Amino acid sequence: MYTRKVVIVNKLGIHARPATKICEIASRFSSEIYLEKDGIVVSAKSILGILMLVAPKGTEITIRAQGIDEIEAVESIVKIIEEGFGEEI
Amino acid sequence: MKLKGISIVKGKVSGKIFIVESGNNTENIVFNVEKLDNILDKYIEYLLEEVESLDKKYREYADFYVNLLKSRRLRENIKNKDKNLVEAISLAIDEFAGQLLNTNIQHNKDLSDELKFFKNELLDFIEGRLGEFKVEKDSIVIARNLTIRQSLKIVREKVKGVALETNALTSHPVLILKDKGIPTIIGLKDIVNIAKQYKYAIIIDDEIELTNERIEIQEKSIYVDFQTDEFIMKDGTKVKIQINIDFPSEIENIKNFDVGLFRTEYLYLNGIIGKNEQKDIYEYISSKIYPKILTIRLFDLGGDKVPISIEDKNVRGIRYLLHYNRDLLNRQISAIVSANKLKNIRILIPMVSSVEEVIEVKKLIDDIKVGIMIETPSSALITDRFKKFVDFFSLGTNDLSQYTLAISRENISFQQFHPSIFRLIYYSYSKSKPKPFSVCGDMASNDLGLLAVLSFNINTISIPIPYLQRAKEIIERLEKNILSEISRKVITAYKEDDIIKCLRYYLDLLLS
Repeated sequence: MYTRKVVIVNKLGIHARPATKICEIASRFSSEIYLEKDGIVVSAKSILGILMLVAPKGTEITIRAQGIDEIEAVESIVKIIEEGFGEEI
Repeated sequence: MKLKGISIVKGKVSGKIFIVESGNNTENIVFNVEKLDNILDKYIEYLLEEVESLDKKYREYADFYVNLLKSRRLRENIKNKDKNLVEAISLAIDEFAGQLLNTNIQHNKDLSDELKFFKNELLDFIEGRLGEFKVEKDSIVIARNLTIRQSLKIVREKVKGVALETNALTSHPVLILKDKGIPTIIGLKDIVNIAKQYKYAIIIDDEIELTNERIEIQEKSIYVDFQTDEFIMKDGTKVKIQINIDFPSEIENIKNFDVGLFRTEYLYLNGIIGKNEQKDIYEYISSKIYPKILTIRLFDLGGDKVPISIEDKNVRGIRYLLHYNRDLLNRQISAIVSANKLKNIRILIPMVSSVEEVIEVKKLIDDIKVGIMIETPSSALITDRFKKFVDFFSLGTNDLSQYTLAISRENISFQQFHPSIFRLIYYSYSKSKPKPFSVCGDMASNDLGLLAVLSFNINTISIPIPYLQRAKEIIERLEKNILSEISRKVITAYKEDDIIKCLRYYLDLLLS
């Protein structure tokens, strides 16, 4: 199990487009990957789940993965979140 | 057993009886898991194909929906609903939209709104591809009533004739049969139950005979070789004739005519909404009839031409496209623009009611002639105001009538020949000059209405192919002085009844 915390930095937070990006990246890995906020846990491979998380700018979320590529999986998602999904910060 | 009804299309045909029991075909799309996966994957394929050539922005937009449709959670949710396929999908997406709304975040709320349109398009796609009902070729179809899709299927499958219980003379499903010249009788009480005891049927004009033995009869084709698209009156006055079509295949047997009206909503109702699919069809017709002109009417959805998804049935035509489904509008216009290599395509905007709508649509179009339908009382009353913005006018009569008379076109009290309708047609035409003006509506494709329309000096009409021969016969017997008598009487009439009597009198006189 590998875990990291990250803060949402882009202006609009996790809306449809970022959710799609997270989902697409997560789907490339075989590990089970979860996003967690305030006790709510959702699969990073489910677009419905990610949107239900409600994560505007400034929210801290926890990314957790379990599997053979868990480190790479979590780091890839952290990276795209820290880059603000290429959107306005 | 013989029964008499109201003849919509006269003709002499025989065939095996085929009974259509249910009116609504989406209920019949039985749910099964394989079908669900299959259709969602097909839609994903379609989405990806659609956005292939577009900006990155649009591709990302599609990616969201692709992921959504791939989502196991959504598919499980659909599968767990104890409903038919269409309802199950609709419910599952509504639930998701509801959850998004509850998160109280603005962009989720927006997305929830957007999902409604997405759902509409998906359901229309599904209905278009799976919702087909089966019908036997060369049969006589007997039903209480039909849906538009069923009528379309009947036309495509070359059904010989149709006999219905409904009384709705001007409903779209009936008009389709009329346009395509399928011998049809309506107003046949209880025919569905009666026909169950028989195997074969013969339709002769307004009479249907049910039998248990097959009887062959001589049938005749509607396709005649017309030398020119001008039909000429006794005194040399020319009437320019254009044709109304719904399917690309209709132009295969006919030459020398402009297409005055190509109703694209029937493509939409068959699930053909992709840009490339549309473009291929427009290009095919354009090149096939070149140098004649192809007038493409933008999707006229709503009213009784309803994709199952439109909630407010009063939002129709260009209003729907501009305010509820911009994507669909943009895609159609871009398909038309890229199909117009031969420069013989014109765009016709449906259900226009104000000048702003024309201005708005014209922003999206460059280098193509644009015309409007005059089919609302408001557009008829301000025809002169549109002149500055449009290249041509085309008047439709059934909608004009239902919105003028404040009664639905399916209603038994609908007065097709109400004096107000003729005043509006006459007024609109007189205010349209010098722009080209034609009547493409039902009024110009029945004997009585045709007389009235021509009596106003309107010299271009657009009519269905099966009516060409009859129109030619009538026009060739006409002359100016008779027409001016007719117009005077029609315009000064008090009641519908007077107008019908007057027109019938002149028609009998001409044909005697």
